[in-house]
Amino acid sequence: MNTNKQEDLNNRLMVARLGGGEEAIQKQKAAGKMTARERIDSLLDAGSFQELGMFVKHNCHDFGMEKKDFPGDGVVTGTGTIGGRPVCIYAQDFTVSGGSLGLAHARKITKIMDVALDMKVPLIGINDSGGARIQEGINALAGYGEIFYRNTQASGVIPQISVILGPCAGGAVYSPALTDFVFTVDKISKMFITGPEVIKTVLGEEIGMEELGGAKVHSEITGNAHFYAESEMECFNQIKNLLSIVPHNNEEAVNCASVVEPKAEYLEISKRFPSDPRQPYDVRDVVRGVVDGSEFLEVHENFAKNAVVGFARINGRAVGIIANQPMVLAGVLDIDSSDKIARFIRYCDAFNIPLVTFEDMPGYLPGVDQEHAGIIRHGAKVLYAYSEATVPKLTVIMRKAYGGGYIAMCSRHLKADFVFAWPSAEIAVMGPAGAANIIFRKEINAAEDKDAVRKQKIEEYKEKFANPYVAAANGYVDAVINPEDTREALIKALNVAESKKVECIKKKHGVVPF
Amino acid sequence: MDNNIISLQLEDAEYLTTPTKKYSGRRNYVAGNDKCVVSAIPGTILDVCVAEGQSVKRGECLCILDSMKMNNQILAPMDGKIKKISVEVGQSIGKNVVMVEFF
Repeated sequence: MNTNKQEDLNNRLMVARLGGGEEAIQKQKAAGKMTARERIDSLLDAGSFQELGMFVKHNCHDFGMEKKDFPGDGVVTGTGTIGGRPVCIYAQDFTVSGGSLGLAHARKITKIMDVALDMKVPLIGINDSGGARIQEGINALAGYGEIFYRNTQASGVIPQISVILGPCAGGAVYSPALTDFVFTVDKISKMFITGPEVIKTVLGEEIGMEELGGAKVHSEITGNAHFYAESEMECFNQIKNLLSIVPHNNEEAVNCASVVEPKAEYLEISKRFPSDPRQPYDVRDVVRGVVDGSEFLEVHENFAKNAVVGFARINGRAVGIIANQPMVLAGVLDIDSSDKIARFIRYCDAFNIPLVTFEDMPGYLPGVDQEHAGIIRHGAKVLYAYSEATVPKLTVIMRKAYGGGYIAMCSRHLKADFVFAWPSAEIAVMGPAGAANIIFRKEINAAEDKDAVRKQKIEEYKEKFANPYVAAANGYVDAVINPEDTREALIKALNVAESKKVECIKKKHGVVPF
Repeated sequence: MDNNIISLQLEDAEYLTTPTKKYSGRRNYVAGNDKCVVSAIPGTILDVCVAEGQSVKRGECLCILDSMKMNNQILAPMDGKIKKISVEVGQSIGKNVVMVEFF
């Protein structure tokens, strides 16, 4: 081949790889951020990246844009592998015109999204952009819309991961919001619909970017982010970890690995588990006593901590774990924990990941704020998600299972496949004192020493109903087991449930309570 | 475990547990005063359409609040007599400011 032409190509590649140029790269680094290409290289297996669309150019001729050349149009796209398995990836390049999104930029993204969906491989989007390229007018909006449409089409088919490594503001936030997992990094991620300046002008409220939409805010308060990291490298390791356990598309058989027994320190579950239903403990230690290698990848770790959800393996097989957390807010269901649980169930169901529920909850959180913010419709999501899920559904009732909470946490009645209970389980229509106060109201009121009678009646009720045997007698609990036998019971259940297939009623889609 | 242990009373029992940030930061419910018409958003008063002592019907325009690129009509929430008008034309007001009060 003509060496001049090869040299010309090499020059073009060099210019494109430099993005916005040395100065812009130095600025990016001074802000504590990696460049788009460094991020891709850190996340993908070494040497696996194949860049696509490097020479794409914008076609805007307004406001002097015809004279401006944006290498790659501000986004790096391509394919690669993580843990040897293929993925599609794009990373917005903040050094090129602030990573602003115009039509060509968006079309590069939608093209790699189409590839991901056709090939049924995970899609990773690294967001670092000042927003719409205003000079391109409504073409920039068109670009966002086309991305949102594809996010929605790909939902439930391939895992979609959004990594917020810079600003992601205005309309741009809705692509991450439509994807499955949003990763954030402290002091780097910034997400909001309207920024601090607009809020100050319109509302007179003063707030900084970090307090308005930083990584901590989104992982603790809003729930928009599912993962929080202190550094970009930690964030990339979290992504690799997640992609090692979830199936890479909705047709892939459940992800299996070699079996590792739980760590010895977690095996004696009973020792960590207070049988007094009012004593708190960390439910994650129970989970660690049951799952392979005691390894549990929490999703939404810092959001609605009164519930715990995440991925683990049991006998090598990936499962989704859902548990009430008595250590935080007594493990009640409230608006945020309902949202967290329901969303996680739907993810697992879409990707054929069996659900294992650990239940210990006293009911719903009382409060005007909860009622007015719609705990009814939010709580309904949990019922809907569990009822709708057709993956294997296994439930372990550890301690309290009272009232509506008992029904919601994957009870037999929502079609759990196997329900196990520990001897400490209390499955009842409500807590013993509440029930005794209603049932024995007359006797208590008529008594001379009301408190003594009340106490006695509560004890009577406890004796009779605060146990797993009434539910077991009714067939709502399939087996009462010791905590230490939980792993074995779940392994047997998962083995039987492996070939589970449920025919669904034919419909376009249900109407999920939002 | 977190040291910040609280006692949470649920139905009949007291539970020892830690609160979430949101739970600690929640505000107690305060009943609103339905005799007061309050600004839902900051803005500038463009017009005041009623006078103190005047009787108005529900749905009548009380004043115009310019905000979010819109001349928002502030309508009477009920039939009644105006007790007090606390804003004037040209005044910039914040959020949750009482604009008009009914008897």
